[in-house]
Amino acid sequence: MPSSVKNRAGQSPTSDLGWGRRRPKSGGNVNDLWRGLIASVGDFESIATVTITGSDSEPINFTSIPQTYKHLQIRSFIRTDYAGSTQELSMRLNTDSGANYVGHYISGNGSVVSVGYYAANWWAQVGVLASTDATNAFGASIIDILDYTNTNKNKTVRGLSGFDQNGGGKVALYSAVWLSTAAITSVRLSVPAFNFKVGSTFALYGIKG
Amino acid sequence: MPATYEPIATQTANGSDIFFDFASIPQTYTDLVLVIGGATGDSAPFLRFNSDSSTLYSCTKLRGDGSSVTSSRVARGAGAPNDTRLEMGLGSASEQVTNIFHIVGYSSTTIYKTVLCRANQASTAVLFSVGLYGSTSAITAIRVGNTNSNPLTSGTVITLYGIKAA
Repeated sequence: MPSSVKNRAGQSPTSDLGWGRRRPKSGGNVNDLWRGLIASVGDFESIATVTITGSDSEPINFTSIPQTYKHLQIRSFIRTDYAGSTQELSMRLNTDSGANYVGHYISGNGSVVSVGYYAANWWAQVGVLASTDATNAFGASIIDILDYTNTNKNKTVRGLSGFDQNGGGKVALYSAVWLSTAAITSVRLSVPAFNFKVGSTFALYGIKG
Repeated sequence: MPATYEPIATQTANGSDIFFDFASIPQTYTDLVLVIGGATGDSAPFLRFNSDSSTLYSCTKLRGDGSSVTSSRVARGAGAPNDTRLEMGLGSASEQVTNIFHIVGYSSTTIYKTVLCRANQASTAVLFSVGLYGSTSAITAIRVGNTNSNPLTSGTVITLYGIKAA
């Protein structure tokens, strides 16, 4: 336990973190769930990371995704080269460009709440993207792809994303379904008609189950 | 394989602590995740980075309370203390509340820092928010407190995790 952690009285914590437990043992305290036991070493693994360098560009492709995990998560900080209104982050799975994506979203821009639905789309909408309106302000996105290797069900995707530009910005929740039972082997992220700015970073993780 | 998602430190409130400091945060991760589990005292939690109490904080929120949905914002210039820290979660003196903050790209020295929050309070509301710390400094310290400057409820657990990308 790092001695850097101190409370107001300047005291260091006396309890250390446990490893490898996901449920309270018999007779254990439910608070054990909160004491750093949410993930064990090796349950959440980094698969690949892409950072835009050199010049603004898109799309981002994760290919040959290992089929050894239970779920996938993509964590990103992103900025587009568009000045003005918010753009959406689009996802395509296994290069499927058919009208096989359905989804919903809810978002807030600081004053107005918006909701939407799309059926039979060629892309899944999974997040909102920061524009160039505020210098150095990148948005953040966390996308979960659940049970991605299962060949008996369609695939569910959820996204939490947002950006704040000090007086502007948006936070949004997205959910989508890819109407295919195929195991997911590739993910494409893009912002059609625009580019991701240099410095935008996309990190793919696998979660074991 | 080295750990990708690992606990950095944890603290448990004893009912008298008004805030907790996580200092000397390792700069070896890509993202940080801060989880506050428990009652946060009589108000929502706040985050302050690097002991910076200047007006560099702003946020956008989306909140549903079971009958309506609202969106609000705190911008710089809103007046202290609201714009001198990130106030973007939910709090209760007695009810168990979950606040999860994702601080992405925290160690970057070229971008402002964006924080995503998901907060859940069963009897009151669900909240999603995004905050901005308008500094390109890497985050090396985080202060967690109660927006009314009162103690966090005894038993509340605060855990800081690091996530490391390949």
